[in-house]
Amino acid sequence: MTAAAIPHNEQDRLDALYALLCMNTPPEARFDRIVQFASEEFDAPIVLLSLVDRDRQWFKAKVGMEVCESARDLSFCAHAIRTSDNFVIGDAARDPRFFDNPMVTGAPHVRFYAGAPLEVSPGCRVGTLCIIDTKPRAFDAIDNRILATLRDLIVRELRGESSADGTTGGAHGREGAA
Amino acid sequence: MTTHLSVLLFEPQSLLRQTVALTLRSIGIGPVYQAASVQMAQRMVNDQPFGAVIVSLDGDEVSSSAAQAIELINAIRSGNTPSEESLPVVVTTTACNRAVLENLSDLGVRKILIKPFKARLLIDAMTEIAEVGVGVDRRIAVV
Repeated sequence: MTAAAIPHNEQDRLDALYALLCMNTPPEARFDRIVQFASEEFDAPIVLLSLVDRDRQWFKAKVGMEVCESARDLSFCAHAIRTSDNFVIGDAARDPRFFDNPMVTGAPHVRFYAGAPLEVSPGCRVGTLCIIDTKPRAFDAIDNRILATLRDLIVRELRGESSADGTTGGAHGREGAA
Repeated sequence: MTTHLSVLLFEPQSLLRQTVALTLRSIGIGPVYQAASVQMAQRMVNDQPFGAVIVSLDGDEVSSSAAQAIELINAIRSGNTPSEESLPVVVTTTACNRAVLENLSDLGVRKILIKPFKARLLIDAMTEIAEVGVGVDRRIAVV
């Protein structure tokens, strides 16, 4: 098993995480609904909004996972926050970094992982929106885009940027003008 | 090859709407204009031309929203909006009986997606439309 290296900007990253005032707070519908949507969209038995703390990852929202935190050195998300792109492991049992990870060899028996990093300020990735399956699976470009979109919606919520009616953009709900 | 397509997306379910709109934009289809109500969609379709329209038959008051949504499609097909009369229209709905199906078919609706469906299904439908091009298709697909 290969534990993820600590990001070079770890203290800035932790400062950004704590500034969200989100750690150890109760579940919130605005995050729960996105995680539930992701679970249904991807037919994923486990979906987590995972925030990576100094020594642990803590789940602000979750589907299919009983525990609310786990050790950082076993965490897939600790790897995922090291890159700005989605971090996808199609079959953890065949990946040299994870094949002997206790999360793979035992419960919850992770085989597939896809995590989109939550970048709340430049370079500061505080956690992930991740989907996990107990079976290997493929994840194509559109899947990656959809996961990134749901991640973006979570980042908006974390930053307090979402609009009241869920419609973004100008007066007519304009979105994404070219 | 995907072409740019100005899309109106009327969908009252905000998370589904935002997921589809933002993902379409990220894959190069857009701009995507979001409407959370049929009234907002009607205003937008009267204000500017679109290359494709996605219309939900569901709203706060299902029966009246469905009637208004069909009226909106009818206005497009009748040439009473700035859009091309033949633009592709996709309909989403929680229920669809034979009469509605025949009505939508007569209006040249290209595809009907029955809820609940995955956002991916609608994204794939719009990608296909962007790749194939515009035009009324009398063959209706119910998914």
